[in-house]
Amino acid sequence: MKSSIKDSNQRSLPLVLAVLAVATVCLAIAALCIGSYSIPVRDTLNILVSTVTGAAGDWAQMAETVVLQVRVPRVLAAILVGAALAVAGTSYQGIFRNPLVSPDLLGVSSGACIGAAFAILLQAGQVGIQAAAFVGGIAAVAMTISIPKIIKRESTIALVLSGVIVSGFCGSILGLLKYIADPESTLPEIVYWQMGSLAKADYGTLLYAGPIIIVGIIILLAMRWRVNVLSLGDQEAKALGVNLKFERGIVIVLSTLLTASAVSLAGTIGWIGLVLPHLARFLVGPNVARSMPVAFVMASGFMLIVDTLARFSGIEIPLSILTGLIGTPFFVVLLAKQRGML
Amino acid sequence: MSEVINGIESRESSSSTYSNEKVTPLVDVQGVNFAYPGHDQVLHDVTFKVAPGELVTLLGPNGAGKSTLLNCIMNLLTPQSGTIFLDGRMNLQMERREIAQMVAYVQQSVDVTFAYTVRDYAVMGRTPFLRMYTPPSADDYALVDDALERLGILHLSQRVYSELSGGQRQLVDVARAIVQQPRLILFDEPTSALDYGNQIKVLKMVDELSRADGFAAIMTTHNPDHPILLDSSVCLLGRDGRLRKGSVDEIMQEDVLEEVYQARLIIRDVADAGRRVCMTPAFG
Repeated sequence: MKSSIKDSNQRSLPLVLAVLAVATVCLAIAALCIGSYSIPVRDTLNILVSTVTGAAGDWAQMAETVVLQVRVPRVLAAILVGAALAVAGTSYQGIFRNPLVSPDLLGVSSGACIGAAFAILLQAGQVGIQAAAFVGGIAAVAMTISIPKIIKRESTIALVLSGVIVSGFCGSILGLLKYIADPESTLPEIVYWQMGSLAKADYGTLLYAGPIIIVGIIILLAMRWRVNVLSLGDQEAKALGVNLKFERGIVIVLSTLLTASAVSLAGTIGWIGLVLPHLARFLVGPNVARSMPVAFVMASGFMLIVDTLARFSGIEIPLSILTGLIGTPFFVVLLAKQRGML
Repeated sequence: MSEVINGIESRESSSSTYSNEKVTPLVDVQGVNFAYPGHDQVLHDVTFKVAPGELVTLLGPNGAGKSTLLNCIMNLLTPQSGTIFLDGRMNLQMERREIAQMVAYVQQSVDVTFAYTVRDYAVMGRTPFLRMYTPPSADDYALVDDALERLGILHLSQRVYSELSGGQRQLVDVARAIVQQPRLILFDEPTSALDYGNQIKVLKMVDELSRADGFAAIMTTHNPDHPILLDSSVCLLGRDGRLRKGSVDEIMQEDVLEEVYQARLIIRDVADAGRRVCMTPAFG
């Protein structure tokens, strides 16, 4: 395995990123064409070009509506959600010094889901749902981080255990909210949030969540090398001159913001934030300066595949089911291959 | 400047250098008391100075508070009373970045979770000179390659840090400290995890580097032979948390050491070794 570690650290980052970016663009175009109403690639491209040039074409009006009003927002949402979860996952794993940490494990996702469920029950609207998802996510992370301090065992295992506890607690609250919810109207909506779906993604929701996700990703990408230093632990980072409270605070807040925004767009989607950072490290090594952009592009592509599969199935399979079905066996293979180089 | 050079060239005279008022001591610890919450006092009215370029061995039994003292100097722990000045500035009032630009800290063992390469790990020594949004440049990596080469471990640069042996890791940590280009390096028991050969190697390295680069160093150890080997100044931290500083001749006395270590020790000139040696007599 040693040789593959060497290879991954020396693999050319621009080349890997270029290949992945081209693949993601191809997947995005494919996602625009594929569906219950399939559209030829040529028409899809022409429709996209016409939005810029204004040129009219000989494609069906139906095709234009499907591409521009239904599939483009969905494709954009898939890209943003995948990217947000992967960047948040990479950051969390770095600052918590634990490759098993992910937005789901820290309870952010379930906390955000509770927030969203509350807002749905109170019929707070899109902004309310998003704000509540964020507050719920932050509260859950705060709980997860403080439990190891309360039980006075600040190991990574304690943190993981704490995440399990908080997730369990959140699960109960969510159960309670579902029990209260109206089975005709709010309950299905809460279940939709819980299992994850991009079916309701439109320009409106994108307008709320998109800018936050984009800004969050840009800032975290800009300070990604710093995550390496933070991953050495509190004492080392301080000794190396890091203003720990400030920098770790920024990373936690932004990662939680990204996760909560992703949840507000697509509900809870498991595994992406855990598996994709692993895959990125496997490809280009653990230096976050290299692995974060790779995780970011790969996760976007992966979400496109998953969402297109969900649509193509004709019954809109919830995304968490697909990411779990694909992600878990894949994770096992990955762990077996990267033994010793987490 | 002449004092600085003087401090580097002769370890013997360096301890008296700072009595010369012209030189601002690099480290000036004044009356530091420290106790961990709910525990007995660890440091008791600790006062000493370190001149630029001076090599200091901080000697003391396990649990005497050697690491605690280093942590106080780095402002990782705050003393209950007393003040620590770094080059004339109170360390509590300095930003972490400013301290790290002056002082590198080689801690006992860094638990690195991720499989960073030696090169990626050592370049983190540049952190205090980089802005939050700036990754290390080619120049920073060149410093790393330089340091690895000087320590004779350039061949390890693409190896995974956490998979190295204890001795190799120690050398990489020293490389990271050199990359930091500090004026002072704090070594917390750099030899504790090493076999005898590697201990000597690391000690020699610290000695040579500090002479070449002119940085001062404070090195904790519980081995009373180390200050003799290095011919450094000695800070002796007793069980009572009180610290005495002086030359090897002044501090390395049998009765003093026996009291600190609570074991019978003898110090003899050994002609074959070309130095004095600290040893325990036969049992019984």
